[in-house]
Formats: sequence, structure tokens, C-alpha cells
Amino acid sequence: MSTTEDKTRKVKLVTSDNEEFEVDWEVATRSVLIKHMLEDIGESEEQAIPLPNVTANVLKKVLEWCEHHRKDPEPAPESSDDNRKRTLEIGDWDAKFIQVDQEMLFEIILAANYLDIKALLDVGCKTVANMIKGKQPEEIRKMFNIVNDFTPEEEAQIKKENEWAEDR
Amino acid sequence: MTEIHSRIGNESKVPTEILDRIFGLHGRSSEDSEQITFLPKSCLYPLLSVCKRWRSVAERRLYMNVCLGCDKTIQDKDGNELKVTGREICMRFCETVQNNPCLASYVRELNLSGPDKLEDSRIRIDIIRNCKKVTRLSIVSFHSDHVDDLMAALAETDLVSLDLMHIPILTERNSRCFSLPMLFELLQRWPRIESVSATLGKGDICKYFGLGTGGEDVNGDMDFTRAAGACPSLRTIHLEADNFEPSLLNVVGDMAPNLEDVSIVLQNNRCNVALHRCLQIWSPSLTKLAVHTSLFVTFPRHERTALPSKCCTFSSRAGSIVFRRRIFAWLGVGWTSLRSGSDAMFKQTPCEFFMGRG
Repeated sequence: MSTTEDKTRKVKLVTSDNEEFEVDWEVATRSVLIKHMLEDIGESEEQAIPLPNVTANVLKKVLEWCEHHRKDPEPAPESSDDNRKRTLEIGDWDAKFIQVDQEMLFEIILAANYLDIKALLDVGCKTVANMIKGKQPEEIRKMFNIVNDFTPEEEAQIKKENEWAEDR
Repeated sequence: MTEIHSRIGNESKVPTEILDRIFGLHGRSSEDSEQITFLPKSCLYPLLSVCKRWRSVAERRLYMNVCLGCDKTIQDKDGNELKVTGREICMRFCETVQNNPCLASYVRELNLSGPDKLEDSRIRIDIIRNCKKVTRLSIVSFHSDHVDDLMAALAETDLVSLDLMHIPILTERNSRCFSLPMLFELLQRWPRIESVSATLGKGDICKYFGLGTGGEDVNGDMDFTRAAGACPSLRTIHLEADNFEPSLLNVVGDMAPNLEDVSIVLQNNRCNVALHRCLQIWSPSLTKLAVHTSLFVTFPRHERTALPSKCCTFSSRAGSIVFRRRIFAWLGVGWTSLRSGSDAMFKQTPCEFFMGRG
């Protein structure tokens, strides 16, 4: 539970490339990781939170999302049924926000995963899911520059084993 | 060249669990949830052939929950539409899980439906036999000749949830139907079972199984010695069968003392004493109760206890008799120990219901 004092508090974050960001407590704590770190360090306001897995350009983007969603309610804990309920729909603001190049898209996904920001991770995953939806394997490989490491025999086996799932 | 070079490895940096999260979004979509029985897996299928890493993740997702039974249309390599029957799809799947135990071991949820022809039923039972780690099973319709095979296949599983429907069209006197005692026998083998929904045989079929529909309780001598507390995790039970006799209702009470959601069909008022006993057992956990009855059931006037219409609501086959605050008092079950909010779940129809005290 956040207090009024918390909401006015500033938090310092230091990226892997040593850039320092000062943000509102409410924005920074969209990240569960940062929230827990702040709880651990307690009242030491001056102490910066190191984020060795996030670069400045990515953190800037992530904080832009956190700023926009600062008032959102805390997400409920994930259950095993959550995937069943998920759709591929993304809100308008999020859809515009995530219109970035592929490298940045994957960096945001990785950062959201590391920083434990479930809602942002969802936006990233849905974006990739929409990109691959309805595409053939070759198109997907080309899109993500993936090497086909199957032998022709393996490809034939995959096709045969999973024929039951083939659809239009 | 520089642009291509900079893109190399973007996807490969994504850990497997995130890839799985992305693929999980393809397993079901919002429109699929409306037709949960037949879940298209078309979006996952191409992902299997992208690369080895994607295959390993997509395969688990593809086999985790499987719905089989309906016909579907695919496109051949020339783009022509090709209709594939539900039976063919089941056969292909069955062949795969028979030949590849690893893929079979991924299956946790199985929804099997389709015609109740002998061959279709056999394939479905083979699928269950091969998918040994299945925990949630829905099986709708199967041939009466395969009742024992199905029973044997189910006995090998360790289910958490079962949805079973068997309403055979009996043309021969020796046809078998899946019965409540068979179901209860299985439930005792599944210590993790949480939810059971079963719609079993109708009308005069019961006499073929020796259960009778008339006055006597033919299950009185059945051996359910292991029943007491056998299903501590069972929370939901929806049973529709014409042979719900008092002894069987008592077995449910003994076997599953922690039920929260109960829906049963009672054909006559001989179950009243057993129902009273069960409600006492379930009262600490029960939040939702519906007792259905048939229109033709009558309660002899001298056995009736008239309850004010506010006490409970009545409906015939199409609805439910719903017990509310005062009926619990009448039955001697403490309403206060029921969970708050229970009342809100009950539908009301303004009709009087009579129930013998037994």
C-alpha cells in the first residue's frame, strides 16, 4: 500500500550505460522489481537503483509507458487460466507506443520481463503474436532473420506428426 | 546489409519463457472461447516448422490442450479446400500419441467429441490410454459396447476434472450404459479430482444395467467401503442420471464432504433423507445448490411438508429447485455456516415446492 509520502518521493535509477534517471515513486513502482528493491533499501532516498540489464534508450521508453500507466490499478496475480482469457487486442495508446523497430520491440520485452512489468510485457508479446499470426514458417524466418536448422527429414516428420492440427 | 546485420539475434535474445508466453496467445483467441469444444490450433501449427527452438516451445503449447471431434476444412498445396472429417483428425492424433510418447506426455487437457459410432469410440479410448498425463477430460458420446473399455482407460488416469456425457440410443437389450456406480468407483481412484460433470443414461435404460427406476433402492448393498473422504478435493459435482437412488446420494456425501457447487437430478422423493444428510455434511462448504426434478414426480399428500413459497423455488426439468435460507433451517442445516454471497447465486421462480420429510 503506497502512502502520500511515497507518491511525492523521487527515485533514482541507473542504467547499464551509467545514465541516471530521476522519476516519481509512482512511476518507478510500476516495476515490481524496482518496488521490491525500494522496499529493501527502505528510507535511503539518495541511494540509486542499479539496472544493469537495461540501457538508457530502452529505459527511457519503458518509463514513458510507466508514466502513462502510473494510475493504473495493480495487476492481479497471474493464474494458469489467464492465457485462455487473453486476446491479441492492444489498447490504442499502447499500440501507438509499441510502434518501434524490431530491435527496440524485443528490448522492451526483455526489459519488461526483467523489471517485472506484466502489463508492458503483455503489450510486447501481443505485438509479436500479431506479427506472426497467419504467417507461414518461411515468412516468420524472414521476418525475424531466423535460420532454418531442420533437415528435410525432420521437416517431414514434423508435418506428419502434427497433421491433425493443420488448418486452413 | 547493415540493417540486416543489426537484426540478427533480436529474436534469439528472447528467453524461452517469453516465447512460450507469445505462443500461448495463439493457442486460444477470444472468439475461440465461445466454442471451447473445438479449438483451432491453426496458429500454432506453422510455428513448429520455423526452427528447433520454436518447435520445442510450440509443440508443448499445441499438445497441452487438445480438442478433437469436429470436421474441418484445410487447403491443399494448390489452395483447394479439402474437408477432413473429425474421425480422420482423431486417427491422426491417435497415431501421433501412440508413436511419440513424448508428445503424448504434453497432453493435459483433452476434449473428445463426435459421433458415437463404434470406430470413433475406439479411437477416443485409445487416445485416452496414450495420453497418460491428462488431467482434464471431456468426453461426449461413445458407443455402448465400449463402456468397459472406457472405464478401464479412465481408471489409468489421475484426473482433476471430468466432463462425461453418455446418453445411448439403445436398440438392443444388451446394450451397456455408463452408470453412477461406475463413475463413483472411478472417483475413488482420483484423489486430486476437483470437478465432475456427468450426464448419464436416460429412462428405461437403467433396467438393462440392473439399477431399476422403480421403488426399491437396488444400490443399497453396493460396496463403497473406500468411499469415505475419498475425494477431499472435489468441489463441484453436476450429476444427471435417472438412477439417483438414496444409497448413491449417500455415497456422494461420504466420498466428497467438501462440495461447494452441487447440481443433481432426483427422480423421486425417496432421496429426501439422504439429501438431508448430505446437506448437513456439505453445509460448511456449500455455496451453490440446485436440485432438479422431473415433472412426473409426485409426492404423496400425507408425506408432504408444505413450505411457504418464499422458502425455496421450484422448477421442473428445465430449471432448478433452489434451496434458500429457510429450507436449510427446515433441513436442520445451519445457513450461517454457508459462505456469504451464496444466496445471490440462486435464481427464483415463484412456485411452491413440496418435499417429504422422509
